[in-house]
Amino acid sequence: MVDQPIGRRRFLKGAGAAGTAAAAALTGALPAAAQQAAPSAPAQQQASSPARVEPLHTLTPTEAAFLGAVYDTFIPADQYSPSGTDCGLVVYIDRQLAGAWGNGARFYRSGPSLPASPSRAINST
Amino acid sequence: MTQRLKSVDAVIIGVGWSGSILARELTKAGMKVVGLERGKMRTPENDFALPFIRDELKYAVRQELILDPSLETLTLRHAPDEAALPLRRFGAFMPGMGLGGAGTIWNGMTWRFTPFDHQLRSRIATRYGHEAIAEELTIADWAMSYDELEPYYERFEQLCGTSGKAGNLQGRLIEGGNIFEGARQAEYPNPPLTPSHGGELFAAAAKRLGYHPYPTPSANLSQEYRNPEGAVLNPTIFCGHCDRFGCATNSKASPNSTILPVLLGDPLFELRTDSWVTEILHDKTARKVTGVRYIDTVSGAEYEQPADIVLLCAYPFSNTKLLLLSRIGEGYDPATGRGAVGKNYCYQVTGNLQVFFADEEINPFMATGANAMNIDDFNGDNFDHTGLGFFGGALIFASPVHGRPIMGRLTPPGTPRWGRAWKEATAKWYNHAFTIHASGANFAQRHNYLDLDPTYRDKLGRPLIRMTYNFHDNDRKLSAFTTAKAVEIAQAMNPTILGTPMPRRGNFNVVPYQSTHNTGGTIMGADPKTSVVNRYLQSWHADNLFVIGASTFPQNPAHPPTGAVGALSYWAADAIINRYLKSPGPLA
Repeated sequence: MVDQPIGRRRFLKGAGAAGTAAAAALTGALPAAAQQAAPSAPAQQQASSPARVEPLHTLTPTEAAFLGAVYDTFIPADQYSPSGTDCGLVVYIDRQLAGAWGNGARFYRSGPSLPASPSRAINST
Repeated sequence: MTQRLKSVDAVIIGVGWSGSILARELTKAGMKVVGLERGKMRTPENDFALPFIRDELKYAVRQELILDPSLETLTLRHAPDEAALPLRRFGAFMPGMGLGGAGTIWNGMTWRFTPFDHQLRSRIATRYGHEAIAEELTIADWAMSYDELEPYYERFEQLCGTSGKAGNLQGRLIEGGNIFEGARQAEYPNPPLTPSHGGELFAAAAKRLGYHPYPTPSANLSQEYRNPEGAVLNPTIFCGHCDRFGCATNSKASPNSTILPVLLGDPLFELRTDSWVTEILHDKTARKVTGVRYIDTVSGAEYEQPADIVLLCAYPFSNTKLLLLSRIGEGYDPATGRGAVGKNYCYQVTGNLQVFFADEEINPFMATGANAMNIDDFNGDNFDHTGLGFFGGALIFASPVHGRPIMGRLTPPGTPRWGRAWKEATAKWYNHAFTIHASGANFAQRHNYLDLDPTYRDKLGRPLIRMTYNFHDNDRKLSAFTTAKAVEIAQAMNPTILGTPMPRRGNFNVVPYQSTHNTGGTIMGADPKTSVVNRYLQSWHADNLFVIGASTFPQNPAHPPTGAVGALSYWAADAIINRYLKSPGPLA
């Protein structure tokens, strides 16, 4: 380990920067409203990233904008991490909703569907 | 069109711990055995391999190795006068599915029950009087004593290579082990694991208070071990992926790592996965079962597998359901107290609190599922219950069991659940916190039981099991008392921040995970009117049907149940081979 030319810490820092850049590229998928709602990532990252648009599979532009605002409130950019949208969460959730999980895999769906008390919340749909 | 297959000596329903042990013992005795498992084929080399097995979202959150609720779930109501609703996802508990069953995905805690647990009702009556036991508590003695089951507990520990420290060796009490345990004839097969730092802090405080801390008997091994079947297990690497995962390093004892490698190579054993048993076939006049009907879930074809002996080795919900659907025995009715199938469903009454230490490095990522320090001082009848208003107690223990990125982030009380403040708290406290648990016994209660749901159906169109369950007076008092004891120990540890004590209050909440220790429904006993199986786990209604597993517990003690499930499996196998085959008929 000690002989490695690139130290572990240096490598992780480099990987982190690359990851942030990649995540920033994904924000191209978001409509302008979502990007405005997000506490914006450092300006030079936005400028240096090509504006590659990720097509959304399930979310409408309005839903994507709403979720972007939600995720950036849950996960604001700070010294611990980039923002939720910069981490690619909107695209991630869009893809999850398009897949087996979003289509109700491992979920009991037979009716009747009735309201439940909080302690039985897992019973309701 | 049902295809009738060639008869075999024994057919096993469900290939988890019980099914694997029974299959191995019966084939060793020369019997031709078919194992029917409704889940998928699973082997450690194909299904528990790195790196994909470390996917916490897939396995722990989305429950990949757990029973798929879209195939079968159950419904819940808190009392007989409520409408039951289906569990659309699993929360409080997670039944297993697939080869190895819940034995694949357990944490590895390998306790024995105590002599008191085996004779619960009579020991309470002896010390406190019959009248002290509330009428609604339908608790019962086991159908065999601890001493009778002791050699079989030991066999299961040898199979697993259980790593632990004896506290009572042939009557001699040993400091550092559990001095409250029943007498053991032999020490554990392997020494205990190195304690976690959280466990050390807990043990030191418990000792200062005069209690008797000891290490968890662990099926996550402390050193390389070759078990009596010839399977080799590795020492644990403390990776923190036990519960809900298969073990990537073959260091957690499971059916898949300890017994199936041998069993699957035995020409006398035939495993059929994707084979969902729908009915046990029964000749009522002859008081015999004749085999089972099952569906190949891949092709949809239906088969009948005749057999001389049927072994029902599935999870408690399925054991109960198959007896009810097959109309073997009488379903329990809480209004009259008549019938025994579905009776005495029990769970675990768990309380806990978290502790935070600014200056201690807890390293929760270096953990196994069974590496806590524990005390039994408030378990069973190890303390005087006079005037307390409840019976039974809890195993109190502490250690991180994992420090995984999604579910292993403890934050102090008052921390927001999202946003910058949550991020700061999770970064600050991740390495400085762990949980103290009080795993409480759950006594059988007249209104807690299982039957068939009138409305909701499984994938095959059969009724779901309907669980009528709630915590009752004994449970809530037990949880308040034992959680308070956990708080006292926590205070003695002098943490920077004491978390919020969480005893079980109010209604059973099926949403947060509590325990997968679901027991009862086909209980053992001495009386055919009040139990489903006799002391050899043989059906009172058909002498060639045996029901094996936690479904036979009359109630659920505080210690985790798997050690007893293993012991009962060896006990039943012994009864079948050495008693039943020699003289087929009722054994009791």
